Amino acid sequence: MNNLKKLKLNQNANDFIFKEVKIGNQIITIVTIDTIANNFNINNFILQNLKNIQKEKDIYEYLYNNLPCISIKKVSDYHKMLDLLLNAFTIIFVNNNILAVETINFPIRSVTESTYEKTITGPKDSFIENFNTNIGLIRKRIKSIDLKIENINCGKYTKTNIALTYINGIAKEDIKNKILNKIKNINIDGIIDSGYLKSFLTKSNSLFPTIKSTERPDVASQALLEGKIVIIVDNSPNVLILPSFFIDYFHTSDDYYQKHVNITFIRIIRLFAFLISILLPSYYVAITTYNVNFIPINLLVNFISQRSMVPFPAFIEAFIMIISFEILRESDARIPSTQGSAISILGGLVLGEAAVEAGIISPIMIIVVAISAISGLVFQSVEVVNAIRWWRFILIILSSLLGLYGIFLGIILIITNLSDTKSFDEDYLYPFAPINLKEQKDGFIKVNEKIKYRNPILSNNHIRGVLK
Amino acid sequence: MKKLLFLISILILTGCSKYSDLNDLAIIKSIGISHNDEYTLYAQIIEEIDKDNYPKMSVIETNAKDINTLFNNIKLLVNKEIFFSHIDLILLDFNLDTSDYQKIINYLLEHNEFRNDYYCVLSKNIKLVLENSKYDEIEELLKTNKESKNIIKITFEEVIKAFLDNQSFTLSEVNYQNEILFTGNYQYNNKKFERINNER
Repeated sequence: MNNLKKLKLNQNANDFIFKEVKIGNQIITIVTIDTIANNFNINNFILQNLKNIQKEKDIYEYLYNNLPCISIKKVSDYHKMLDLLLNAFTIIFVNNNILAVETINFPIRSVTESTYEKTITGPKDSFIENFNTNIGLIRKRIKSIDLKIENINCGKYTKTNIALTYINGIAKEDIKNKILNKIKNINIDGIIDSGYLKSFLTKSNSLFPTIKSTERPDVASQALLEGKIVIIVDNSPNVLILPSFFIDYFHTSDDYYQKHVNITFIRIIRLFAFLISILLPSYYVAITTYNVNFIPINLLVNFISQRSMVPFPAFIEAFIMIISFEILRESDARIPSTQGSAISILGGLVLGEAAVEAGIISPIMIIVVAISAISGLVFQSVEVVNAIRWWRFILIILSSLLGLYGIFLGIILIITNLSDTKSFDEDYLYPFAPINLKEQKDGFIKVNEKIKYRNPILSNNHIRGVLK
Repeated sequence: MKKLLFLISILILTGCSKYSDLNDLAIIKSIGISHNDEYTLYAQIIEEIDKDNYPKMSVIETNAKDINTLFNNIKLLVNKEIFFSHIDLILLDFNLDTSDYQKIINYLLEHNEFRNDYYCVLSKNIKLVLENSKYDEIEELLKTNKESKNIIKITFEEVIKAFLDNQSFTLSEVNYQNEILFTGNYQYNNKKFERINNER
């Protein structure tokens, strides 16, 4: 059975177009998928040229040499032909010979501003769902022949394009190979988004993410220059940066566009926000239930007056508030923006005044949970926010059982867990554990150095640049 | 999973041992001790907080032949857990002698729920003073008049130190005469208090 008959038998969709064109005695069949191919290109560059053919002996060779298209391939294998057809190529059958001409017209949206990774002074563009556009956004920033892109197809049915991007001479070969092997060994029916890859690439038990996800091309380019590997997945507006360390989540792209003193200040604020977000509700529960003598008398009197009408223990009160906040946040993320204000008003009223008036929640608990929640939102990574949420719950449980002693146990647990975490066999807490003082100049503080260094874990090419 | 269950069981079985909700605490603001036939302990408790966040106070008293029983008895008088950690003031009666001081100091030093940084004053009528003083009134008078020579601001820790070192120390006397007043200073010398300046 020839390839055309096989294709006709196997296809079972309305958008497969089979068009036959008669040239002399020969019948040429054009096959395309209407929904993803560009009809304008097919009409003007393929059909128009076919019309011009008069008496060619070898139409196949004539088309291959004369069709005004940069991407034209001779195909002999049925499966290869099918792959190309599904990737919006137009297939031309001349007798049993096959030509594939690129006529891609996937529906894409334009490059827009980043939605969750906001920047004040940095570039505003963000990745979109189109694979080539995303690579183009990085190429626009790194105009070097050393920028290497290795393509892999993954997913039994989706055959998703995955690009492993790195800079030759900066990124370490062994890290790249490790990641490449892991991707090649993935056996799954489909990769719909870059998030699918995370579970295959990391087996970390930590609640904190070991793979950073970004929708900003400047962040991805910055990571490439640091010696990291960037994975671009077709149909995903988020690219993956790996390996990533704990400290990376305290840095934003804006950190490199501002004065170092201001950056140091902001990073310390982020550290405080991290600690407040994890510890504040549990600390409140501990000092109001076990370690009351930690509260100054006037504040204690204030707390008692606020809690006098509340029938629940502080621990239950904290859980009610935190769960309510999480429900509000989840509903806010899912509902259309037109209804967002309704949720805000309802949430503000219910969680604010009504709950206090009804004597379910004390005002101080609202303040504690609000400060904790707002502090958690300092971080751009959703996964860090989720990790903070988990640790906040664990610490509240520990503090409700053991007071401040429980919180200290929890802190030890967090530090142990983070110390035990590896990001592609590299220590997650680097440069703090193992300690590297040189790298800490771009850790929680930022020092304006004359010589800028790369992380020795990520690259053998240590010097990034010298300020003269 | 077994490890997690084990950990949760340990936490639940060993936890919550010193749990006390804020609403279950009887916070003592000031205490006073006198000794006649028996020891008498007066405790000023923060009772409730009104709409203006101004705490209302109440005074309870108990008697016993020794200091230990005295402090244990007071715990039986209220249906809440007595909380001594935030005592701001101790009032001592003139009728306490050296051995009484010794016993009081021993008790307060032995029990870690007491801090020793509260102010110490003398009073001839402790109950009247405590019943008629508002929240923080005496402490505020002590704080705001720290430059004045008529009022001696001394903490119980300093009293203990002077007492144990056999040194003299001076305490102010507080009384109620339609208002809270400091009515003189007394120096502890040769096992008794002696007035060192005139009444105001």
